[in-house]
Amino acid sequence: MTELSESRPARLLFVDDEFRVLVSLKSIFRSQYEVRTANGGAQALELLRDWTPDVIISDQRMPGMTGAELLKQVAERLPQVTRVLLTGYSDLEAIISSINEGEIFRFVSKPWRRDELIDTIEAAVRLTAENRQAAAEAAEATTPAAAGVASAASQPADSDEAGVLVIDPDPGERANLLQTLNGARPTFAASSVGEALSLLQENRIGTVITEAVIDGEVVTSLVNGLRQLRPELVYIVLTRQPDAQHMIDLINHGQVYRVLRKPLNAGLLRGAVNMASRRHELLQTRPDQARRITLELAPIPVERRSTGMLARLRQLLHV
Amino acid sequence: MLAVLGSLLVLCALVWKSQQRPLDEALVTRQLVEIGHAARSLEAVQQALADARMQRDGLLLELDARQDSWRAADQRLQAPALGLAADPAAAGSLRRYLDAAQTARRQIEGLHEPQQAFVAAFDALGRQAERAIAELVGSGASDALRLQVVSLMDEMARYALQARPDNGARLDGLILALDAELPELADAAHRVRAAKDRLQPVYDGIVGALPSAALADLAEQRQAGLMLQDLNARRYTVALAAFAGALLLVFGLIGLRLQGSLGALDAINANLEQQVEQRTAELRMQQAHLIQSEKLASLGQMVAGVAHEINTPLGYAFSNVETVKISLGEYSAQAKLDDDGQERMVEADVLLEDAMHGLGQIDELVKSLKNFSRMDRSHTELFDLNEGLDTALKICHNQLKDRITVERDYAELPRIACAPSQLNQVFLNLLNNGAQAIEGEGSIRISSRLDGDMIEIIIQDSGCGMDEETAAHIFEPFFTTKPVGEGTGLGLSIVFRIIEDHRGTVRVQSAPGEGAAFIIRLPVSEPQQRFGVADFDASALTAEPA
Repeated sequence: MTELSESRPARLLFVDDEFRVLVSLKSIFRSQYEVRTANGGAQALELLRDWTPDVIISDQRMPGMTGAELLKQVAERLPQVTRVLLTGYSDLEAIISSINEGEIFRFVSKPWRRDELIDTIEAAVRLTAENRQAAAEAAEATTPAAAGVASAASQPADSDEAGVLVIDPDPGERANLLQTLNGARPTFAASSVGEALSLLQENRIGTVITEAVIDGEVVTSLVNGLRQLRPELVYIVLTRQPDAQHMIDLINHGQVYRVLRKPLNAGLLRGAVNMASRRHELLQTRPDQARRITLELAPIPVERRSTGMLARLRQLLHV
Repeated sequence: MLAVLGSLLVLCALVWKSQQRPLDEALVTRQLVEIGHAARSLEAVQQALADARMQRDGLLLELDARQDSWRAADQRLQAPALGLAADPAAAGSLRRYLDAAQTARRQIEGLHEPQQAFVAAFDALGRQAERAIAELVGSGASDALRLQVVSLMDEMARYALQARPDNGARLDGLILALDAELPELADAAHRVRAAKDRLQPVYDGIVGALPSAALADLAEQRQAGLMLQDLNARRYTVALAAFAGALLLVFGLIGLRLQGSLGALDAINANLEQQVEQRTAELRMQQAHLIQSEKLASLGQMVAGVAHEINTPLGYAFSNVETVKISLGEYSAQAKLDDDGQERMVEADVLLEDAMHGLGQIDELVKSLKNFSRMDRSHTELFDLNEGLDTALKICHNQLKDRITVERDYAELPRIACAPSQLNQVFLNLLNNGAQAIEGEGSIRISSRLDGDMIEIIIQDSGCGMDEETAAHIFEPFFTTKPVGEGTGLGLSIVFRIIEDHRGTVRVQSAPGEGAAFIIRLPVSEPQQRFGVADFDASALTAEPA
């Protein structure tokens, strides 16, 4: 069904210590995909030496190496492979680590729904294809023939660097954030969703740093809504008391870039902002990839959708 | 202590003295009776003596008989059983009496001879007188002489009979007058007078010697002993009564003082009890809080473990059923099946559908548990309490369905900053409580309204209700009306605690048989404080088990 340009079936790697899970998953996907399985992190890494999948789906709790650790290593070695974490229970540390280090595409909770899993895998495969294409284009651009085009594309970004929007209802935290960022880039601050949206409209902003809860609500809906309108924006979420479910939602429905804990480590924040800015520049040069990310977001379930915020969002940005 | 011992000793002594009888009353009575017998015998003897003097003959037989009974009486007085002789107080009197009696009896023995002599002389005189009269009548002598003889006999008879004869001179005159005419008669008369004169002192001696006084002495001595004893006993009884009275008075005073002291002690005790009660209540509250935290933490850990363990097999089981169902569908569409095969396929499809349904329910349950026990939720969220009520209703749906109708009357509420999972627990506890209070069918009414800057939520059941006593204690930790082992008695105290942590109030309105209404009031304004239990280390729930 989903095939790459070489018209070979996409490759999936499932990692789980419970072989029955592997058997079950394989039975779903083997007809459409080239499926391989590993019973743990070590075996998976071994397999990855001479076989590159399009998507890797790993269980979190495994003896030896956790899923988050495995995905972190995969992200370093094979960044184009889309990573999915399969979790039986929301383990906060694993979730944050797989967001920040594993740059994970999706959390899938056990027990998985067959249709949803198929959708997720398909989306992941499409994303990988998009990533591959972007990488190939970038490689072409670095060849002498295309160098002029690339420099031309990146030139405006340097001269007119995208700004950073800080959203935090707490004035003290806000001031602290602005001080930490130290004006390396144009920085804007908002205390509410309304303020944030008008700032977004009026200024060139590439990175949004936001508190996890704004106006008494988790920002999932806000990020999800903004994604549709500004796919190239990159999000860093700050939280004092991380909530596992919120983090999962922020990835699955918002594809946020980083989650940082308060009180903030200044170096960590600056590093994250730098990386986010580069990511934003990349997405700007590759609008297809940015749109792909937005396109592949999981829809927010009706019962968790904040209709109020979405309506306000549309109102503010479209009028 | 010494005083008490002393007074007890005095009391004992007095009781002993008042009860003491050195003389045996019955014995003394018997002694007195015997003494009476002896006295009467003595009187009889005296009477017999008097009679004997009056008569001329045969008379001493009577006296002897009386003397025998007197002797017998004396014998009885001496009997050892009577105890008179052994009693030192009486022995002297007895001896004196017995000696006197002995003497008297000897003298009575001496009475016989003069008495017989007197009787013989008197008889002889009588015969002489008769003969003289006969001769005088025969000789035709003067009547004067005969009359003198008759007078002599009369006077002699009077002389003999009287104890103190007054006619001695006259008698002597008559004898002298007759001496000339009748000398024999005069001689006989002389002899009678002499015999009488000899007999009379003997009588007198006997009468004087009779020991009536000694006997009276003895009786008196005995009687006096008894009376003295009675008197003494009465004196001791009076002393005993007086002493007992005094003691009672002292005891009364001591009792009064003791009562006063007890009152003071009671007051101190009551105060102490109150303090202890207060401390205990505080301690229980703290303990309940601790237990609540522990309970939630361990529940969270358990759920984390169980959820993971269940979710993995649930994952592949669910997925496999679905895969098989789809494969089977594809297969049955392709394969050419006969009617029986078709039927089997349909049946298998239904069965697989049911299996999926069951697995879906398990999934829902695990999710509910997970959501409910989650304490890693942030507290900055704004929460619509109506949503919390609905979540709680969903969770205890199984306990309510079919049996209890739920009526909801929600007002539009502002969202409040709180710990949603904790408030969910409050609602669930109250709903469970209400459901358990309803036996058989009933209803639970849930209403919410905004009252100024407070939100009021009322959960009212149609259950058995409770009395005032129960209502007063229902929020206390460990208070439970359920049988041992069926309730921890913590549910409502946790409700109380959580609501208190949210700066709200919870109270109950109920009467036996009229259901119960739990009324929760929560402030709308954002609490400044952290929320008690909810801020326990969330990492405890999410830490990777070893």
